[in-house]
Amino acid sequence: MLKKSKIIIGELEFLAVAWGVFLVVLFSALGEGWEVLVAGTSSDTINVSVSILDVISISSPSDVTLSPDILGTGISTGSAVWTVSNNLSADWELEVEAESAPAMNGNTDTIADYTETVSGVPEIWSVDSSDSEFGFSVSGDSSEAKYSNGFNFEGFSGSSKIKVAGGSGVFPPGGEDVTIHFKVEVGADRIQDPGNYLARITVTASTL
Amino acid sequence: MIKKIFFLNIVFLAFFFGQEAGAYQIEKTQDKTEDRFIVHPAKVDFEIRPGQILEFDLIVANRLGRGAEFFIKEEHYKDPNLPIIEPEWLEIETRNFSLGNLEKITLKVKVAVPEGVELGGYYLALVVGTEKKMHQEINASRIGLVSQIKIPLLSRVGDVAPSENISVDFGARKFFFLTGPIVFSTKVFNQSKVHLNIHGEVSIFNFLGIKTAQLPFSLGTVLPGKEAAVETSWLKKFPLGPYWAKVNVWYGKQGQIQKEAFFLVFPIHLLLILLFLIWLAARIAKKYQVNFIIEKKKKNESQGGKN
Repeated sequence: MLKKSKIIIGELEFLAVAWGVFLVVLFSALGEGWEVLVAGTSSDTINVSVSILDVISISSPSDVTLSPDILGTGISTGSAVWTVSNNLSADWELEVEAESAPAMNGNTDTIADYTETVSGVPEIWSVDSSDSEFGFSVSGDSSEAKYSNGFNFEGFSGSSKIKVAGGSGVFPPGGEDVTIHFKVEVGADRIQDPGNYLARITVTASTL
Repeated sequence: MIKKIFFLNIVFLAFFFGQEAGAYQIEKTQDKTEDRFIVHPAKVDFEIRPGQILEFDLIVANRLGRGAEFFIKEEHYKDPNLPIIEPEWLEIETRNFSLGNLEKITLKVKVAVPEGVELGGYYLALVVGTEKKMHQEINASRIGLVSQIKIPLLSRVGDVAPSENISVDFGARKFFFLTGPIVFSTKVFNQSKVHLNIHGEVSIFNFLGIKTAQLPFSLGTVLPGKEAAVETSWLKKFPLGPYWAKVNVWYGKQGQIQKEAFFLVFPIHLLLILLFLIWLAARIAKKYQVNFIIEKKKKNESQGGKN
């Protein structure tokens, strides 16, 4: 009898342990599920995009006042810098033109466009003593070689465009700087009407 | 009287609201002042059929650091003899506007090609510029400056194949070179009715048929009736022997032209110098050899005498 009781007690103990283990497993599982419900994570993917547009840009320098004032005869100079850029890696060019021919005009007199020895070929500045002339040169890494980086001058040709710089589309940071140097000389024997003389120059950048 | 007033009101309202309302937008941007103004697109190259309309946005952004007046105008692109995109084909929302610093404007531009237009290329440039008023009261010679950007509008109306109207001239600068660099000249003449984007490469093969160099180049956009040329240089040290250079020129969508040129590289001057040195060395060696033989004979004789 005692033996039988012991067996029964043993079985009960076994059942209790098994049941306990089952409950532990069950509640653990439920606890995991509950954790998932409480600290749930879900993911969502979105795409972020931006468009970089192809552009070309140019700076717009202020008008140039030549200096010094010409005391009857003499030389006066000034310059302006244009910065050109595009992000197309495309060939580009910079052209200049004047609004009128000659480019520089006063109220009662004009200053002739600089006349090269060979038309259209920039040269070292030289003006006859009996003349007054207005011309330009160009400097910068992309300036046309004919200007020898600002040493050779030529005259404007009215509204005919003159290419002064260009490149293959590889720009330094910030763009390519091109400097145009303006020069006026009134020859020693020239009688030039006094007054203000004005020229209007257009500079155009384009991709090719 | 009341009827007249009513009628006039209707006419006034019809005139005022009957015009197409400008849809362009001027927006303030978060850009920075950069002392320049920017235009998009930089270039418009498109295909279109007669009767079709192309529409695109023209954006001008002012980053000059000051307010500015802008204008838009058209002009011939490069050559006034090229077929032109006619003014009546082009519609721009506005051609004059003001932008404050860091403002940009987006304008609709339409190109409407009429039916029955001859197929081929048509060209125009849109010029966007800013100008300042000339100040007459300045007591000095003054130069007023206008800065502009020119946007090429390059169109192909209809499906115009360039076909055989492309000619290519290719060759090395000389047939015989003493040494490098070897310079090649490639000229392409576009005799077709449309502009073409042309690029290519020069491949160089030695007498064993082994490719020894590849020199890519680009001629960019070549307008109809125009020629473009490029020189490419092969900078190999001490090339030697016969070589073949082959140029592949690609144009349009799938067009390709190949040309070949043969050239020789032989450093005759170096060979002559080498021959001279060999001759000199041989002469010197012969002289010392003779002296050696004479001395040896003398030595042998003196030894023989002693014995």
